[in-house]
Amino acid sequence: MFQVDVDYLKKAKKRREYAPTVITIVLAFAGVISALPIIYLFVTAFKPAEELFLYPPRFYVANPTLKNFSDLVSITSNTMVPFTRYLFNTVIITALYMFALIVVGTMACYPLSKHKFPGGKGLFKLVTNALLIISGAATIPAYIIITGLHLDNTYLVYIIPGLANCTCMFLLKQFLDQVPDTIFEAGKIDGASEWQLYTKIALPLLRNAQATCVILTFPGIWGDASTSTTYIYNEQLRTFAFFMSTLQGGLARTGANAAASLIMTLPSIIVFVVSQSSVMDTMAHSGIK
Amino acid sequence: MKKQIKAKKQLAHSQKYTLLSFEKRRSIEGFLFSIPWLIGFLGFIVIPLVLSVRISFFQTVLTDLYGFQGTSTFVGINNYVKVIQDPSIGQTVFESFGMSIIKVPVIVAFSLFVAVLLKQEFPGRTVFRIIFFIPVILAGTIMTYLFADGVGNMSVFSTITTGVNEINTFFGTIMSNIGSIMWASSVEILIFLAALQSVPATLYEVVEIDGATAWESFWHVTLPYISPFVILNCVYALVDSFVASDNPVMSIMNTMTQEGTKYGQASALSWLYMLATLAVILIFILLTRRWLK
Repeated sequence: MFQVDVDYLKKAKKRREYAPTVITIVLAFAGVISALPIIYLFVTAFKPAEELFLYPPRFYVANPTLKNFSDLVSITSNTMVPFTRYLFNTVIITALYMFALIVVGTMACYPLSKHKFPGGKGLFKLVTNALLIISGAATIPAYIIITGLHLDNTYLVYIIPGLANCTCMFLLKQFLDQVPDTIFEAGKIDGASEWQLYTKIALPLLRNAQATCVILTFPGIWGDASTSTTYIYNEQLRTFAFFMSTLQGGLARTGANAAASLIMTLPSIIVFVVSQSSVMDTMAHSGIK
Repeated sequence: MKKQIKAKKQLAHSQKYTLLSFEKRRSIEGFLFSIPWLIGFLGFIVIPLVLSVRISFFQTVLTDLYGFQGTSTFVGINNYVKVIQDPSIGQTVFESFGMSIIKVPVIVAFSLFVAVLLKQEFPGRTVFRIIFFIPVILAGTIMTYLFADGVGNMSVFSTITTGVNEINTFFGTIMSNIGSIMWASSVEILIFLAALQSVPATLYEVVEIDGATAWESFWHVTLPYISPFVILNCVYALVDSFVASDNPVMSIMNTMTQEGTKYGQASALSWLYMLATLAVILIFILLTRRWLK
């Protein structure tokens, strides 16, 4: 009655066994092009002076040294602001911004996705259109508003203007739309308040989307040098990225610059490594299915 | 007994609000949550944009932007006319649109391909995911460092490509083009990866039992399921290439702003450019709407 195509099944099994190897080879080929700059970045930070200026440049280091890092510290030893202060500023700003961004974004996407209020759809269209906004058009008016609110020369100028992030809002709402309404209805029937629906149901289910938002926005705020130049006059409040941009140019500082670049890059990579698994985690695992 | 009292209290509480239905009341409560975001959205996105519309009708200089007094003069649509009449601007816009339209399908197809591969189980998966995400990690200051002012005033990319160029010019051009596409597709890969995770595993089991090959299950399960994200990524890639800092239109705008006296024209150009971008994306969404449903 049943005819099982044994050959076909065998072939399929074989194919499945070979798949990982094939995938690795294909990706390795493509990945090399993406990986070269980062390898270069790592290697350069540990190069001694005589290797820094070699031509053609090498993708390995013969005599690794930590001198570039000690140079970085000694550059700021004579100035008013030590380089640790810049680093401290960047860490504080990034942490506060990430926290506030997630709170504000998730709070805004919950009613947009799970409630109907007049103008809700229009608002979302406005958000998607705001994704297209060409920042060049609005930089000068934004400057007028920020200085008008006296946000300039405080930590707040790094945090507040970027909180209404349209890309994050869009992603969060898209993810919450996939969560069945019935889960929230069940919560309502059990007597949960809106705040409880948000904290107990929406927030945990949005964890993957939150991680995605963090990954997308982290490099931007961590590497933000332009806000420091535009709005901050107090050297004590400027960021590490700003400090790095002052290092550029000048052959004598090449080594310190390479070390600073590595310090700038590492946290972003660590954030990605830590949160990537939760981004990739199946939605099925988070109780939807 | 306590429960009864509590229930009575709740009843009394709800009777206070009999004017509104339960659902409506909850909606208003929920709406309160989005107020912080709305304030930021209005204050730092909408209002600056409205102001920039105003600037586009004025001939103005930087010191005057606060109050629109003194040297600022209302010039009506003159700024727009100037921008439209400038043949070089029109040509640049047209060329950059053409480039984007060629680039976007390649970027989206490539990122979908990589995302599907990265979703599979194989040794070293995390390492590869990181490698393909590097361009986003390196965004900002590091990018300028790598591209423009690298070690010893040599950009990493130019050194890599010159290294290859010495072997073969043709191969070198291909390499740098592949490189630029890969560097543009990291966010798209991430969005696709997240989308692929949302496809229920049971669907794959079903088609596998029905005897579908991996190829068939991609076309009949994966692609239909993630089609909204394909559209999203197309729009994202379009916008990304339109507003990239190396886009020629963006650099025209920047030079206009830096000249100091052409803010009105720069605003007019950016509004025209935005309308053109919107038109392209609207056409795209209208064309793909059918396929989505």
